[in-house]
Amino acid sequence: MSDQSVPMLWRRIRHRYNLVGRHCRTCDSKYFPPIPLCRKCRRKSDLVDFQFSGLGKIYSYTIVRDPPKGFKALAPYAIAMVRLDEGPLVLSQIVDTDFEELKIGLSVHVVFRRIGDAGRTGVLHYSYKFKPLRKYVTGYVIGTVDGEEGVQHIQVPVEERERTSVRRTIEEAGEAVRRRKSKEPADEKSDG
Amino acid sequence: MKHVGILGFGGYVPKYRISVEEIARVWGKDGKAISRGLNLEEKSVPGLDEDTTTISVEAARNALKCAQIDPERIGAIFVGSESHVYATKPTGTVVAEAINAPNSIQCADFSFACKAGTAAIQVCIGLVKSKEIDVGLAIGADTAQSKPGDALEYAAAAGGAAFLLGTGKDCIAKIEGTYSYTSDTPDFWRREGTDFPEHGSRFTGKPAYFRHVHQAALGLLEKLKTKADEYDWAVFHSPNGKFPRRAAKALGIPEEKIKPSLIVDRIGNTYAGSSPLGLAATFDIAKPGDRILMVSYGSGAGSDAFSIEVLPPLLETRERMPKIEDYIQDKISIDYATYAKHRRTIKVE
Repeated sequence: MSDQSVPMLWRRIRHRYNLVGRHCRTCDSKYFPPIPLCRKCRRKSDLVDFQFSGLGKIYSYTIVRDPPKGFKALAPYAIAMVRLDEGPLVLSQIVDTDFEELKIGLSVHVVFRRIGDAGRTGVLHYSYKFKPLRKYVTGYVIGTVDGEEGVQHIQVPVEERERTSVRRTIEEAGEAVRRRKSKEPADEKSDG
Repeated sequence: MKHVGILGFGGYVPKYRISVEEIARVWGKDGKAISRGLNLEEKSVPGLDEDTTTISVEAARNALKCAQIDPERIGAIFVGSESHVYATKPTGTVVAEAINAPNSIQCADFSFACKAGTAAIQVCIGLVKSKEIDVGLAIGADTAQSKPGDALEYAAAAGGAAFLLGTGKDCIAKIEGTYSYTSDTPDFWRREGTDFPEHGSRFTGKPAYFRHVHQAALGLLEKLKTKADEYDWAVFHSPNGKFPRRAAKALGIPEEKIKPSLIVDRIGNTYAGSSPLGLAATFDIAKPGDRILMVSYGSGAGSDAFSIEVLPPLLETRERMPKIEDYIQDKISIDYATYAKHRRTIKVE
């Protein structure tokens, strides 16, 4: 983190703080982090900023016990590929967990955390991380930022999220691999 | 214009806890006696990646979930804390970006020891009342510092709460009035550039905490022509479990009326987050028509007293975000070595 320039950090604030990615209004694909052109539609892209709900499930994870420089104080820590509810896969640390509860398919939600600093006198870096979803987490903000819908507030039915089994997630992963091999377009969702 | 009210509130308490007995063990003290003396079992500890800014953001997001208002309506963001992460860059700038507030906001960090959060609420009330802004966001949050081995270490905790101040029929509570009492009383301070605060030990009691809390409370009651027994609930700044109980007793307020706000017993003194979190915890159980007396205390010294009436929308809106009790119960206990790492008293690259 410490080798990042201040302007580079500043440019990333918007998407890091609020999980703001892109939504292609031509094919309905959603991307995170933001990309300049839809991978499917290319010149027919119609991209607008999109704020993800911050809800997702662990697609895969590992525990880091031998961390790189700058992350030693955090070790051991969990990092995971999180499948956002809207489609994209995001790599992130999973916080506030004792590791025992971690499993593929576990529901998680976004939290706002410090991800590093440029030394004791440098600028602080904040971003998204994920945390296992507790029953008491009831609502999240979702919606497009620059699109027509505007920011909406939704209530998240927690019971629905917890119904998903590990098996279903593995099946989903298998389906994605099969589609990629046969070069079929994914319906509605994108890998981001 | 009628009274200014609270449109939404939200709190946040980090997940980690260390017990008073564990801290006492390291310093060779009688943990049970200290725990009994302070009326304190354990305190909250921020995660390694948590600070006043992240706590403020989580609390503000909860307040927005509660109020369900468009963040574009926010015209001011003030964060009160004694552990702001920058000396010059306001915490509120990060909070604003993280909650999609507009750029056209007034923003500043507030400092007044443990009452910086309630000072922020008062300024928002003034701005809303004068129609300078539509909605104001006031936050009190801290990751309290304490010197290792010092008496403060048993209580100095982390947490915060946020309040959206505005007007209209959606208000969950009405601010009936406020009253402040301030004097030059050096009971606790942290000099510029130093890591930990110093304090005047027993001097922090009678001439400092109790004098200011009582004067502010009595001043408010006189200003509004009300009596202490007209309030259903009371919230006092809680540096430990003992002081708020004694403050309530001196004002003739029975202990059961301060019980919902006595979260200090289980999470410690969250400094600028203390009375705001106590108010949020009281909102979690109060019913429409209830009146709440809140008195903060900031060393240095001053107290802000508030008279608040609960309105019917609270019953529906408070179900939209986690309760303070949810955060208190969702915890991981840590030992002193891990605590030292979390508080960065062990330096790691």
